[in-house]
Amino acid sequence: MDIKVNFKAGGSFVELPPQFSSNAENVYIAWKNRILGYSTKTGAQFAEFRGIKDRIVGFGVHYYDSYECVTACSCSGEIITWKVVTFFKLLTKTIKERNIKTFHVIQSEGAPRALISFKQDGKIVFQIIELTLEISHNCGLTITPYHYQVDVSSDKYFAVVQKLSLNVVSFKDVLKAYTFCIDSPREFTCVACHPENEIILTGDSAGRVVVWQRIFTSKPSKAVFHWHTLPVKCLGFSTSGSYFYSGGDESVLVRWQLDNHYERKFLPRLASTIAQIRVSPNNALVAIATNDNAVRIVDPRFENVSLIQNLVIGDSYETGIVVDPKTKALIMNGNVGQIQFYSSCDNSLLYNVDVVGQNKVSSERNCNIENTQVSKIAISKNGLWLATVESRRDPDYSSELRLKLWKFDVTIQSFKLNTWMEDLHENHIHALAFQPLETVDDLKLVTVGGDKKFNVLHLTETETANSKSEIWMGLWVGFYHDLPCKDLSFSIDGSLVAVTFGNTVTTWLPDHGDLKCVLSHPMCKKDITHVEFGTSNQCHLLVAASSERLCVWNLLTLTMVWTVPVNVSILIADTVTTNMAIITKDNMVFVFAPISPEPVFSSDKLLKKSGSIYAAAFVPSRQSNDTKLQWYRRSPIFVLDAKKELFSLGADEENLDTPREIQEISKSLFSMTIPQSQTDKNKSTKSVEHFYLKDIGEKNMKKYLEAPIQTMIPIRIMCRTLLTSMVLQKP
Amino acid sequence: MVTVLDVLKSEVKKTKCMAVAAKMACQFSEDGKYFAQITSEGKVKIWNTQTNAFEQEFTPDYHLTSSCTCLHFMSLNATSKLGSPRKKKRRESINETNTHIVFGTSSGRLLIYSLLKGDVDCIIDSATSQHINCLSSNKNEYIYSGTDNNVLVWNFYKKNLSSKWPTGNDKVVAILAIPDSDRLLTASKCIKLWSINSQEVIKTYTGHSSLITLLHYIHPVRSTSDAYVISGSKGDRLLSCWNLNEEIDGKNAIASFLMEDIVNHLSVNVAQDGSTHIAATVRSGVVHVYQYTLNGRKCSKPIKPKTTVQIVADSQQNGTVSPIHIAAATYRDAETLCICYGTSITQIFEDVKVSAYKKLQCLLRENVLKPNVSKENQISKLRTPVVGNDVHYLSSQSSTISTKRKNDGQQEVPMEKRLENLMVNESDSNEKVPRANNFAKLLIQGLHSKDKSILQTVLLKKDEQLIKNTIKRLPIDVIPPLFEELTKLIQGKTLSRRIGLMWVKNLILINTSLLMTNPNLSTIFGDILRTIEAGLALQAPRNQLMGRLELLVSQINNISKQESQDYEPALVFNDKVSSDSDNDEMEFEEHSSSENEWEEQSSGEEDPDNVKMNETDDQNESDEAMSS
Repeated sequence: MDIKVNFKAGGSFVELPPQFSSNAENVYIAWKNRILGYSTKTGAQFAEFRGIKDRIVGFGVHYYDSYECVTACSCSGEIITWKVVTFFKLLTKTIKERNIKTFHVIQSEGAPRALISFKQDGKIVFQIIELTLEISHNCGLTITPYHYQVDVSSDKYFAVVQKLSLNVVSFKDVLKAYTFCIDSPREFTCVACHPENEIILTGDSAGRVVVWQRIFTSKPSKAVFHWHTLPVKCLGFSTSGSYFYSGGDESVLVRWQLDNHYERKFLPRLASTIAQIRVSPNNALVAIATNDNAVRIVDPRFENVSLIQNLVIGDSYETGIVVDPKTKALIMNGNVGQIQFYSSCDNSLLYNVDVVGQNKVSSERNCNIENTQVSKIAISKNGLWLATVESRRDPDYSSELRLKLWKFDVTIQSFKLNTWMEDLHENHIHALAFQPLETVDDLKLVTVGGDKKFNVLHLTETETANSKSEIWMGLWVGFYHDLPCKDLSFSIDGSLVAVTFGNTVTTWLPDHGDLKCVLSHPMCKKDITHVEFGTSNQCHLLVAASSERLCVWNLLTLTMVWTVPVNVSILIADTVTTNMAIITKDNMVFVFAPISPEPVFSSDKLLKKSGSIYAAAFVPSRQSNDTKLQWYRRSPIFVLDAKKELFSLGADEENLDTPREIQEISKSLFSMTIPQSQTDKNKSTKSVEHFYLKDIGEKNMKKYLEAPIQTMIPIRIMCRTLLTSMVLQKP
Repeated sequence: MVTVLDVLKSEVKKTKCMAVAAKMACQFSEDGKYFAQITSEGKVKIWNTQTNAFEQEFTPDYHLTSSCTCLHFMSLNATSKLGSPRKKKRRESINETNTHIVFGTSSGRLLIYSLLKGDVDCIIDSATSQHINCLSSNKNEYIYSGTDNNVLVWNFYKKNLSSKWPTGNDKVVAILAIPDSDRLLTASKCIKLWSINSQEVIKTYTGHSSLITLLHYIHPVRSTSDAYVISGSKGDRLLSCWNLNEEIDGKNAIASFLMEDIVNHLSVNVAQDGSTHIAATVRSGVVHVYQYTLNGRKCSKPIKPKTTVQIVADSQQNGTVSPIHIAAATYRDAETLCICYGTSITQIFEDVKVSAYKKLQCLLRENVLKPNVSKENQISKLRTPVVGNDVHYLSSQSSTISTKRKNDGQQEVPMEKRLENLMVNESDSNEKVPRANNFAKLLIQGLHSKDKSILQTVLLKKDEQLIKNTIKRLPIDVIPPLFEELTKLIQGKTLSRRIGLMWVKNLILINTSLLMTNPNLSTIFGDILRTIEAGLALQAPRNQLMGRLELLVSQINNISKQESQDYEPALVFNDKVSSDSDNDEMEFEEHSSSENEWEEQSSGEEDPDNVKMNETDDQNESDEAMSS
């Protein structure tokens, strides 16, 4: 079976600062082992530079042979330079040093150089390498192998901060290092160099930004810019250097005037901690990389220009993956207090929905402030009702638990809050599900709580003074022998609900609260954590899973049909086929139909490389109605792992390869025939003609060519204008 | 003179072109993700259909003198497949989903617009000033366009005009390159099938009486079966379907589809089993959905739509229903249509499931005059759901309180009040109200009118005998509403709950048989039971707290008593004898009392159940107790 793990989304965009092209039209972002190019205007991706095998530790945009190039370096020392216009590799080189920690391109007129730092003999060594030649110069600076930050000021000097010390080395005299210290308990957190002058900015753990001037003397002058309470995470100098930006955990971007520390502007309420700041070379745009894996492009007036964001990486993925029946999007946790709608068809983020409706409160210096998180999501079968559970677990004060029921208002095409329930259960809601019915009236919702009870809510009407409105109200509460309940499942027609209590499974009539049957077996000793009803012709089967075994019950005969000892961590059911899948604690995948213990598909290798699996779901594909196709083409399994990366287990896809298996293109037979660079006059890119470049001479030419022969001016009079116009046309 | 004539001519042509443009002006991208439309003011608007976002607007240069007449989506995706190794290499780096839109203009220029850059990539000038009426492409680098009497073939990569050939006297108003072949269809009043290589007409199809504006290719289900093309014209209210198999002769349509107006947009979905779904958006703003299996045989009768989708707005004030214009619709899959509706200023995209069983599917939507998503939100991709005034706020104790953000509903004065106001109330004040031993009448009145004050006067009686009497005299039909009122009472605070429970208890005692036979018992009792359950859940901690409080309060009382006892004898003593030793004694006693206090607190802390928070609560409570 050709089932493959297809990488879909995830992975950090913001480990390295984004880099602008010189005209600020494009911005480049390092992602895993590639460089992605995005248009700053639309936020759309236009290029992807591949070829590096390992994680990229640094990259830069520079000019080489008067072409704009992108150069990236991996931790194992591969360096590739791509020409931006053609996407071809210009230079490929591997340096012998391993364990490269940082890589910075030195912007200069001459041959391209770069500053690297690597670990050697238990120390961090700095080296300047020539990209085109095999030459390298060691710097006279070595530091201890702790966390450090480097920044380079064009071709003049570079600065390194580590713990209490700031080291500055001039490129003119690389062997001499100037070192300055600050007093503990403050520690340096980041550094930025002025692009032209000898001015350095440092951020420290107390939230101060210090401006260092006269750095190549023994007594530099310092000025303190203090606004942040939390450590400064990143700094960015404007191109002219007259102002700079700083950011940190407060999620506020601060713009400072270098000559006046009272002049500051704020961009508050960004979605998450600011990780990187970069100003475009023409000062027109600022790229703010935030920890939710987004890069925001803003202009100097802090107006949003575009947003580059894929899968939102939040703090938790507690809600798992829920499929929206309307848009076929995956609903997951996003930013704090928000849920994201992620389209699985074209791998793009559709939108985030702010269900909590509270501003994110950033932590304070000595205390961690909890924000309200979305912990569970359920959506009704017709997609009209969305239930979200939000909780705020404060260790010091009482925790909050809230259930919100949203109705999708078709007239305004947006979710609208209908009912808000406080503390439905005492401490936690383990699971909730809507009755899987298409009908709208008297729909039921069951929540399973940590107070050993389950609540059945139903949709009714309430009458106020002059209007009727829909409302969700409690119908009845169920419990069984004071046993803890963990999960529930509705039968396919919604007439029966199964709730797990300890090591037993109970089934109830949702309308009246009648207990229909209790299923238990002496073999099942551990608490059952997952339960699912079968679908279509296997709707009489009930699958229950615990950390020791998987068992299937027949509800008609009330007998156990089969059981397998396996440590189940996730049990999911497909909506289009009768299949179910389990993922075990050690990342084995089994796909099976409840009717037979013989698995449809099993693999212990597919997910071996990923960390522990957070969530999984069958996601119906576009061809889900085609019964002739294999199950994995109709509804592949989407999996979210501990590294917050999204994968699909399905048919091998052509375009998206996993970044873990890197194909080396330059070694193939085909690539032997391809030169590193190629010019083809037939396909020259010069035909890119813009409107404003429309040649002025055309008018003269036209006059000459189109005028009727009898009315034409003597050619000797026109000759001069004609010729000059042709001369001007040449670029 | 010549120039004046030219201007006139071009004006005439332009108006003609605009008429064509009105129909060709919109298209969905191949994957249905984007929708582009040329508006009447010459701008191009591009929407993302999945997020409903108005993403780009492009105003071409000279958009008034040489306006865009037609557009066509091209994705580079397919083009990179025909691969020399060079292209393969290129593919490594270029993003696969690079979509371009090609615009034809009235001055014979072709604009290639990059969706990703949000700008024009390049312009190709045909150097003829012919109007480009229509565009099509064959998933390779060639773009075909029809002008007045010519077919122009453009090369997308080389960015030039690669060839052109005349088509005869007819103006080409619609063009379609047939995928995976070298065939091309051009249409004026009749449809011509061309071979691209030899530039010769192979076949002509006739049937429409006016200019054909739309050609849509229908993929064969299997490679062996026939391909079809469907066409719509400017004047006919019929769609015609033609067999493209060249071996079959016969110039007539094999099937025709009936519409209520002329067609504006077409979308076709061919299911695996061969049934073809056609969604035709017509000028009047509705979508006709047809289902038909094309099997090569002729169908003489025009096929009627299986379903018609219509969108209307319900204007609140005068009860009239106004239709909302549907601009285009495309298939997401065999059952789901993505429908674009609204005005030319704002368009909304919605995925609609088409039900096959309804002849007319009418959707009720709000009239879109203002965009519901602001520009700011589009950039941040954040949507804030609506939290209106009509939200119901419930807690575990109650289920009907929705007072938190309620708009101040002015309560009407009930009839009783009004009557009361009319009467002279002197007599009332003079006479003593006769003592009634039941309130049944008043209660019934209150339940019917739902007047709060009446209900309160009745329900908040604590006299159990009175309650019993009242209940005994109640007619059966008021018992359900009474239950509702009692539910509210029970969900209230301590006193009302106590009284409510008394009422419920007596009601059950007296009317057991009636309640038992009521089929809606569970719904009537559900709320009360849930509230009682929630109350019971808190019983244990409440008892704990109460016990602890009692202990604390009594201790505090004791301390204050002790202190006062200590204090008075101390004073008495001091009056009589003044020696140092006594003073010492007193100090010692004071000290001991403070020691006592400390012990109590520590004993409280030793209690394993005692949470810190409770203690602070206790402290507060005790403070209150002290002050009281």
